[in-house]
Amino acid sequence: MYNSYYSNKTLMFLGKGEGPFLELRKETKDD
Amino acid sequence: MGYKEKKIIIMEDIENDETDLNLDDKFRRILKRHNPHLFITFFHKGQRMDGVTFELGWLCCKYSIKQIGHKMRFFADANYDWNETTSYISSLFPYANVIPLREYNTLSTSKQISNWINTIINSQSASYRK
Repeated sequence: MYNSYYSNKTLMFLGKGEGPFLELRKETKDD
Repeated sequence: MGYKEKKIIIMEDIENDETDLNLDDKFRRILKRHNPHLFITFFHKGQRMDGVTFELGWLCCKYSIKQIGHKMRFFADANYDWNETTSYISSLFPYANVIPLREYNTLSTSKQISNWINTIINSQSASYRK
C-alpha cells in the first residue's frame, strides 16, 4: 500500500497477447 | 502485486465498440477515454511484434518522440534485436528506459516484470515527490 505518483493513474500495457504478457494479464485480473 | 491501486489498460481485454471500424479506432478511443500516464511495452524474441511496433509508431506520430518517450518503459528479452523493429522505436530510447528480461520463461518472466513494474512505480513516486 504505497502512495505513489501513479496510484490513481492509468498504466497501459502494450504487448503480444501470449507468453509472459498473457500471464501478466491474468495477474492484473486476479489482483 | 500492488496493481490494485492502479488502473491497468490492456487493449485485448477491452470490448470492441460499435464505433470501432478498425483497430486504430479502438486504440484511439482507448487513449482518448483513459489517457494513460505510463505505457509499459513488451518485446519478445521469436515473435511477431509488428502490432506493438505499429502502436508505438502511431503514438510517436500523434504526439512526438520527446513527448511520449518519457511515458514509455520497454521490457525486452535479453539481446533482443531491435533491428527487427523500426527506427521509431530506437528513437525513443534516449527518453525511455529499456529493461532487459532473462531468458524466455512465461512464469518467471512475468514475476520479474511484476517486480520491475513495482520498482518503476516506486522510483517514479520518489522522483515526483521532490
